Parts: sequence; C-alpha cells; structure tokens
Amino acid sequence: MTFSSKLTLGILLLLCLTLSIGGGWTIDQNLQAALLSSQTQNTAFHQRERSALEQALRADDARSTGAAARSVQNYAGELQSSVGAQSFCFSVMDEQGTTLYSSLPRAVRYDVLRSAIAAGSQSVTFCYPGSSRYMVLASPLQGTMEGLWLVSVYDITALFTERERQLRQYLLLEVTALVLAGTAAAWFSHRMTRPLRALQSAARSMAEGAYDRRVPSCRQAEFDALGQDFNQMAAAVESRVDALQQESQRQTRFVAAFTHELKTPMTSILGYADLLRMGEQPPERRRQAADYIYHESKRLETLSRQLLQLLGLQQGGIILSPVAVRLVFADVRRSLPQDFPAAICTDCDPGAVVLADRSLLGDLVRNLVLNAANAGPKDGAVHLACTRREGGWELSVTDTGCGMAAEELPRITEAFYMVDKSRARRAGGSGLGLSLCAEIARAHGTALEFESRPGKGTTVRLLLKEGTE
Amino acid sequence: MYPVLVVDDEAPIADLITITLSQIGLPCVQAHSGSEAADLIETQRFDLILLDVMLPDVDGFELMEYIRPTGTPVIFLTARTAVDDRVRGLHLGAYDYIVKPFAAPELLARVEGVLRHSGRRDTLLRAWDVVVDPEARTAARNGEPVPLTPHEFDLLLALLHNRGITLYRSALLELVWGMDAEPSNRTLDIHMSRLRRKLGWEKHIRTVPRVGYMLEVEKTP
Repeated sequence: MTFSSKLTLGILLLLCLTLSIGGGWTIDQNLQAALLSSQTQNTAFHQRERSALEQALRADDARSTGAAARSVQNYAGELQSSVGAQSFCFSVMDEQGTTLYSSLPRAVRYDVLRSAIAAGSQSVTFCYPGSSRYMVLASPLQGTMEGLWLVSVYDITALFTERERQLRQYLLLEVTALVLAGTAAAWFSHRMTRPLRALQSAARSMAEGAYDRRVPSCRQAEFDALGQDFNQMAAAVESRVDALQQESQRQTRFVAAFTHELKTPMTSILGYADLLRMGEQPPERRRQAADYIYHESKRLETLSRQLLQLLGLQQGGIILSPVAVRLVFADVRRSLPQDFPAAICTDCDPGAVVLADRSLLGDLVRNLVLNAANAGPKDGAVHLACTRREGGWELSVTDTGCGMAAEELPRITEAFYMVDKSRARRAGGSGLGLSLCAEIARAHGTALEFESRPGKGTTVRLLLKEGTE
Repeated sequence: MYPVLVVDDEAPIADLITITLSQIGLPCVQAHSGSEAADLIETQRFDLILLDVMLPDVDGFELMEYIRPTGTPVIFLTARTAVDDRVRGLHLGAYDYIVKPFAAPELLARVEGVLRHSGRRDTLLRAWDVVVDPEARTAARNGEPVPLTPHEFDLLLALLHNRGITLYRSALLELVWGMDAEPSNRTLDIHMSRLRRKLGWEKHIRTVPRVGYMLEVEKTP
C-alpha cells in the first residue's frame, strides 16, 4: 500500500468517525428533546382528560363498576360526536384489570397497560409495536369510586419518523463530505509525494546506468533537501564512474601499446633468427640479420628494464637524502654517449642541495636531456638550470626544439604515448621515458611541469625540497 | 606484374618481409609511414599491399580509404590480437590479416593465396622444366604431372622458397616432418633422392656434405 493511499485512508477514517459520532449524538439529542416536550404536552392532555372524565363520573354519580362503565362510555360517545375521529385514545380499567372502556389501537397490548398502571402516575411507559411508537400515561380516577385508572396512549411515531429523516439527511451529507474530503486528500497526498516518486524514478534509471539523471527541486523543504542530497550522491557516483571508465580506457590503451611494443621487436628477432637457422644465407644478409636481432633484443631489454623500474617505483618507496644538484648534473653529463648530438649548458647554484635519491634523480634528468636533444634544438644545446624557489630548488631542462601542441601535454607522461612515433623510434625511445620521469618525480613528492610551444621549444620544471648536507 | 608494397614503420620488419617475398620472386617497395604509402599508392600500381595497422601518422585503417578505389588487394599486418581489430580490417575490405609475430611460411602461404584469388598473378613456381602449384600441391614436368608424396612436396616447396641457399638438415627435418617427429637424417636423404629422380634434378639439387641441401639458381642464358 502506498504512502499516499495510506494517508488518504487515514484522513477519511478519522473524518468518517468524527462525523458519524457527532451526527449520531446530535440527532439523538434532538430526539430526546422532542420526546421530552411531547411528554409534557401529553401529560397536560392526560390531566385534562382525567379531570373531564372525573367530572363525568361525578355527574353520573357512578359508584359501581357497571355504572362507571356506562358513564365512561357515554363520555366517550359525547367526545367522539363533538371532537370526531379517534383523536383521543384511552382506556379505563379497575384495579383487577377489568377493562371498563377502551378505544386503544389494537397494537397496544393489554400487559403494556397493566405495566403502565403498575408503574404509577409519575412515570411514562413506551410501547413499540411494529413500526409504530406509542407513549402510554396512566393515572388513577378519583371522586366517585376507588380503583379506577385512566390509561392514555399517544402516538409518537412522527418523532421517530423525523429522526429517521434526519438520519438519512445526515448520512447523505456525510457521504458527500467524505467523497469531497477523500478526493481532496488523495489529490493532496499525491501532490505531496510527487517528489518521492521523482526520486524513485531517478534512482531506478540510475540503477539502469543513466548516471546523469537528477531530480528537480520542489517546494517542500524536507523533500527538497532529500532531493539535493540525492543529486549530490548522483554527482559523486557519476564522477566516480567516469574516473573508473577513464582508468579502464587508460589500462586498455596501455595493454594495446604494450603488446605492440613487445611484439614488434619479437617479430624481427623471430623472423631473422628463423632466416639464419634455415640455411646458409649470403654474408651480407647474415650480417644484417644479426644486427637487427641484436638491436631489437636491446630494445626489448630496455623496455623490460624500464617497465620493472616503473613497477618498482609504483610499489615501494624510496629513501631521500641530501644531494648536491651540481653532482647530479655531472652524473648526467658523464652518462651521455660520446656522440651525443647536443651541447649541455649548465646554470647551477653551486650551493644547491636537495632531498633526493641521487641515481633516480640522475635518471630523471638524463631522460629529460635525451628528450630535449631529440627535439632538435635550434641552438644545438640543452639548458640545465637550478634556481632557488620558495620551499626548495627548481630544476629545469630547456630546449629550443620542435615543441609540442598544448593538447598533447596531458598525455605525454602516459606509458607508450609518443608524440612523434617515428622520430621517437629512431632515437631508440620505448615510450616509457616520461612515464618513468613522472613516476620518479611522484616518488620525490613532487610533479613535472611542462611548458611547451610548437616550434619554439620545451621547458620541464621540477621543484625539489631543500636538503642540508 | 607489379611489385608488392610493404607498409611498416619498423625498418627491420619491412626488410624481413622484403627478404621473404624475394625468395618466391616477388619484388617489394617499402614505405615507412602512412603518408609515404599514400604517395606511392597514388603514383604507382601494386599487385598487393601488406599494411601495418599502427603507423605513426596515418593509421592502416585510414589508409584503406586511399587503397579501396585502386582495387589493390590488402593484407593487414597487426600486433593487435583483439578480434575487433581483425574484424574491422576485414570489414574495410582487406583480403586477409597476419598477426605479428609471423613465420615466413605463413606469410608466403597467405600472400600466394591472396595473389591467386585476386587473379593478380599466377603463383606457380617454375624451375627448369618443372612447374609447381603450391596451392593445389601439384607438380608437373614438361606438362606431365609428377606424383609426389606430401613430404616430398613439402621438401620441394622448401627448396623452391630458398633457392641458392643451403638449407640445413635440421631445418628441413623440422619444416617437413614437424617439431615433434624424430625422423633420421637417413629418411631425409631417401626422400631427397626420390625427389631428384622423379623431377630429373640429379644435378640441380646439390648435396652440401654434413650441412644440407641446396636448389641451384637457374642460370639465365
């Protein structure tokens, strides 16, 4: 059962109960008042009749039962001829219960009269034969002889008919009120729970994958707050799902690129090895095959070494100690090959000491220097610098080479991402160099900052904490 | 008769394919980038294009746009094994695909198959008076069919695919009998002498003592 139908039913039940009890009580009170006034009126009639009858008896001086009966009959006859019809219904009985006269309706039974006499003149007896209602009044006739009772019966059916009418009228009123109130309550509760239904449908469509569904704001404060909270939750879920999807896309790209990087050298190695082991190839082809096998194996070896280093960095922490930057720059200079195509210009504060892992920092700077040289600097040089910044030292590697477009920058540290694949490949790049640099920077608690303009050159900056020797 | 275009940014792989195809007498032209390939496709005609999917500038799938109007058959070379990639290549109109790393016999078989089906070239191998159909696996001498056992035919094919090169015994055994079988050198010698007799090549198949066998290159008169 829904909340709105429960609310409607509850309101209806309460209303129905109140109206029924209130109405019933009012109508009952009306009846009681009518009965009371009719009793007063009937008692007066009864008294008048009694004194009239007593007068008649006295006039006839009826001292025996038979005489009394005759006298009463005469009186009744006179009454009937003067007033007409049966407007007065009465009976006269003696103490033993012998009826001297009766003009009572048949429906009023004898024992009712007896019990009315037994109850005495102060009380009222009611009699309900069939659908008629009667009020029975009894009082002793005094004067000529003892033991005579006058019993009058008054028809009060009209009072009860009136009550029935009132009840019917009231019932109609109540039903009308209930229908109106029910409609209003249903409409109101439906309207009130509309935000809940909006929330429900939004939650359902979210469960089915529509993470961008939101609920509109509404006028009721509580529901509005709930809706806002729901929207916040939905936004959080959506951004999380997005992040997961991006991560999964990145993983897919990584696996595809890794497969390619692995299979390409393998294809050459296997192919040339197969060529060599099939038969006696001419010397020139033999030399070429061996050359390719050697270089492609080197490439695989570099790839596996860098990948292992990357995994190692991602898993374990490193130990940082104070290192003089000029020593790191010197390490890099020494590690470069003899035929390195670019000059190295160093601008380093001799007192610069940073917290770092010397060999990892050396690898980082070396990779950046190799990249800078591959960019083909116009002045034929790679510029290394170390300047003081707030909180430490800033290392920078600058070249005046080909540079990169702004949209490339966010992806260049992604594994196997190569801006210019053929150029990178000729230079022996595996596509892992910058990933490795970014990872080393991360292990040092900092990050690489790239600034590049196509055709102008690139600057990579790295802020390191100051160390004391 | 047009050359085969080999598109691969990896020089070693492009060279490997060129060497392999030259053994069955197919001349190759190499392109090391998508744009280079597109230029060549516009200016020259080819019997077949071997196309790497991952190229630095224009990728293999995009190159199909240039190739389709020329009607040149294409075989994709790919390091990707994902079914989606292969299906995409075939949908774009490639005849076949080869997954890297590949073995030389596989490359040759696929290239021969595509050339024959596209009607670009007959792929019959000829040596002196013998004509060999690698797909139907039949050989004929002066138009007369020569009955060969499957092993003998494989030996003949290996020799024809490596003319002028001394093939090692171990390589021949593995190529013809497979990795797991253990036939003796004697088996190889018997098969070789039967092959010589059937084809009348007593002089053309040379025995290199303790090394292997070589099918001589035909001297052009």
